[in-house]
Amino acid sequence: MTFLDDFARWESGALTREELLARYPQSDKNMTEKNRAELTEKNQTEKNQTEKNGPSVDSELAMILDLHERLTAIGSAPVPYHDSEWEALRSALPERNAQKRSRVVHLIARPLVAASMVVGLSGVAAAASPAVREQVITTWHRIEHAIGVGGGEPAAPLAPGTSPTDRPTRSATPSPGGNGGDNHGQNGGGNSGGGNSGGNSGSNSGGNSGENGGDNSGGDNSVENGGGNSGDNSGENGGGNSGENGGGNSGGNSGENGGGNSGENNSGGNNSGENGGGNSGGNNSGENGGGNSGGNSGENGGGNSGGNGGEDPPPTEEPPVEDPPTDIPGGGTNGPGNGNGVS
Amino acid sequence: MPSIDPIQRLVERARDGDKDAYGQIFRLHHDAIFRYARLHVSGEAEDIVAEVFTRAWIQLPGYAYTGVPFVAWLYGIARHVVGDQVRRQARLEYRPTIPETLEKWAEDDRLELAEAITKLPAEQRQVIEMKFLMDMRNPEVADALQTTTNAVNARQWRALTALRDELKDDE
Repeated sequence: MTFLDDFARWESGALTREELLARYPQSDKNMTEKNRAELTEKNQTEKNQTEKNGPSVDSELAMILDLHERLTAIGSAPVPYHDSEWEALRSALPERNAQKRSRVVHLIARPLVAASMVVGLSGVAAAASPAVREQVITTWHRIEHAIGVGGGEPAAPLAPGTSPTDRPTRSATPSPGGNGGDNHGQNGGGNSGGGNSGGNSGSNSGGNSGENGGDNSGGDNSVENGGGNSGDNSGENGGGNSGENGGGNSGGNSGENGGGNSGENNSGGNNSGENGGGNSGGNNSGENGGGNSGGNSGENGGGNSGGNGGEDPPPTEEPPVEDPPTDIPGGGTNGPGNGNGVS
Repeated sequence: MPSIDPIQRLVERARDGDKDAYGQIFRLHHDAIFRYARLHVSGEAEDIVAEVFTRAWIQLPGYAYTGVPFVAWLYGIARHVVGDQVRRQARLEYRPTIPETLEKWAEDDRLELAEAITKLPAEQRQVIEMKFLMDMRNPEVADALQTTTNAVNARQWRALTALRDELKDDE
């Protein structure tokens, strides 16, 4: 039976303090300064021996027992507790949804992040080289050239008043979507956005302002989340927004003769003018079919017609006036569109 | 000291967002964290407890049971919180050499002991704090420190000896 065993027995109550001290009487003798110095010198050796044989009992055991009891008293001292503490804490804790992530996901998450960081950092490091950058840009231009997008050339303007539906069929080639330029002038030109196909394609937006607002003809958006065509036409003869499928077309037409928005799934813009144009939306189908909403205001409100949810138009005394193409040549300038439009 | 398995079930429920289960954990371990905080930080033990359990709640989704008592994991968080608070107090508070009241004497006595404990080597300090403040038995401390009960007994003895020497030097 070692000293540590006896000490553990004292801790568990199997031995009394007196019994323990009686077993190791030399430990509680008056210790001289010389003994203390020797003890300090021996201290390291004793510590090393403790694991094997237990501590040297040539120490002031009673003092250590006092210290043990003092620590025990601190550990067992009464603690004030009120349930209000928990209530206050509970309300401060953030909500947390159940953690149902599988262990597999948990295991692959970190390596995946690490791999992504390695790839990203490698890319950044490679991009630091001018030769690499030049090669990437050259390759990108070749791809753009091959699929017929980009190039920085602005879209050709439509003739003012041209019906959007007269527009030639657009290419179904996937493209990131075009941004129609802004046309300002007496006869705003037309913006023709390219075709958008693919998930979350971009939008065609351009504004026409002028006496005869041109047409904003959004490209074909045939995707699950087609981009939107938005263009504001303000002028004497507002243009029209058209899109075939896909995202919503929202365009505000304001002018003497507001244009029309036509498309299958269109969220028509507001047409305001003396003769408000019509928003004609096609069929809206899908899990979340859009509505046809277009505000028509003007002396002669246009009509909303759509498969779903169009408001009945007020009886019109005269149909929306379709502004004839003007003889004045289109004076608009094309803004800096991305130029992927098909005219 | 409550047995581990029921606590582990509570921990799993709390990890999934069950605040009622976490409330039971709070009640079970409140005293241990409070005592630990009270020894080291004067007068702000309740705030420390709240901070420990708030951090534990946030970190709980990352907790995985490895056989170590949950209270040992809480102890690890408490050490950080108390450490932060002690550093803040050291910057902000001026402690007079002679305490003004009897309560102050008692508190200073406790803080003196706490200071002596912080001077211990980590392996000895952990044994003392887990055993006397976190209310863990020696075998549980051994599990938490991944060692044997005999080693814990020996470390405890060395820690007590060192504490005695440290406190004697201060007198």
